[in-house]
Amino acid sequence: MISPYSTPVGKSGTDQQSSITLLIQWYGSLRALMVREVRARFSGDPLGYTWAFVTPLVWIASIAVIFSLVGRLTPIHTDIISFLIAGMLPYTIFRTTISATMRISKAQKNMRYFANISANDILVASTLMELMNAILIYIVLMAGNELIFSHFEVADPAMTMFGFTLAWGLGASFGHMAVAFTQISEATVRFVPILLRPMFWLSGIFFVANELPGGLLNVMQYNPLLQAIEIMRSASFLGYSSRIADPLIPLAWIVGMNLTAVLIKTLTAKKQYNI
Amino acid sequence: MHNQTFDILDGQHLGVLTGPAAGKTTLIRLLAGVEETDEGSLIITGTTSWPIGMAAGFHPELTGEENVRMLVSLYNLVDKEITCFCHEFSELGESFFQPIKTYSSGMRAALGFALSMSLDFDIYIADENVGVGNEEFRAKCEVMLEARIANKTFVFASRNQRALERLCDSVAVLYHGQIIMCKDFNEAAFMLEGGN
Repeated sequence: MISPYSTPVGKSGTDQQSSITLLIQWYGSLRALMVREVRARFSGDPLGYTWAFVTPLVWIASIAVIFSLVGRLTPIHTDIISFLIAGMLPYTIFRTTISATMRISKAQKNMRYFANISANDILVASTLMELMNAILIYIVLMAGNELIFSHFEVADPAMTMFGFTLAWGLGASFGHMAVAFTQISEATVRFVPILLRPMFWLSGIFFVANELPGGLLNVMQYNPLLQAIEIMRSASFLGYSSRIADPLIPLAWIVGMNLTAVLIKTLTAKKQYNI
Repeated sequence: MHNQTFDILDGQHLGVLTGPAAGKTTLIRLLAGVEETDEGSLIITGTTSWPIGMAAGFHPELTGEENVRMLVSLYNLVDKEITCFCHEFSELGESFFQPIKTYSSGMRAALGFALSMSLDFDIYIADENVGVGNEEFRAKCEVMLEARIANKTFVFASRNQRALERLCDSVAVLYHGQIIMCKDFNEAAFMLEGGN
């Protein structure tokens, strides 16, 4: 019994292929990697993909309850859920993208044997998947807020998404850099959560930059995640205009972290290609 | 491996006889494209398989069928015929539709081998083992492999001289980072023993 399949496949050596063909193949590979990861992550669980929504929902609900208990009102004129979505979701996508990048890079390293899959393909697929997940979660949570509480506020959708995407870009870049650092030391994996813990408190999930005293603000404005959240908030809420929102700062961090990653990978490029 | 220059011809079935820790897996990883040379160049004309029988690409949470379909989709192929072939050849029965994490190592290897044989590459590579399972299944694997590589280039790195003799028409020795072509398997074995 011979396999009926006879079309030559697999990695191409020196065959010349058009750019379009290569692009289509690359898209196909990315899509397959993303589908594989989604299926694997949520299969075998009765709730399945619903879990992707449960975590941010629980966080937002918990913080809303805490706000209520301590008597803290939203610092800008909007409802608590919208305020927390604009703060929590960018942070969530930042953290989950980092985690996914580091985890999937390792989990999928054997995929590099197949169909010209490269380490960068795996990184791109994992980060794109997190972005798509996060956008879907954002849409569902905003829709839920409208349906249940009749609150919906997105003044400038394009800039709102831009801020959201900056948070994702920061997570993807940090993850890329962290993966590169693991080639120097596996201890990176343990350091990353410790390094990122302060971001939960310092990135504007519970406050807005305009509340901060001047001296502190001069320092905090260089926190790229705070910038991304402020950009998103300024775009979402008509009643808020951040004093510090500046996309150049998170963009500079994104470029810097990616360049650092490329530099480390270049310097440590050797026989070991365990990403 | 260092200071190495050699050619593998189209259609050649090259057995690479090695000792332990000689660089066999590095050689296979280079041919598979997972690693790159530090210096020099590796020119491959044609499409290259992954190491025959490798099951490392299977995700444990997915079923055998899902894994096959996912891996085939990486090559932008329609998976129905390939899935049927893998199901039938691997003799997994209903287990084919169960998560890989429930498989024994033999079942994973059987599915890995079936998938390796289901796609048509120009060059096939193998690292150490090419047959899996009991004697009957191993014989079936070997028949399938011989048919599959009949007009293909095949590179098989192993410490098992007999396996190399059955499947290869030429032999080299991988010794201290050097690949040395030999006249025949006796010379290869002598060279390796002498070196040890």
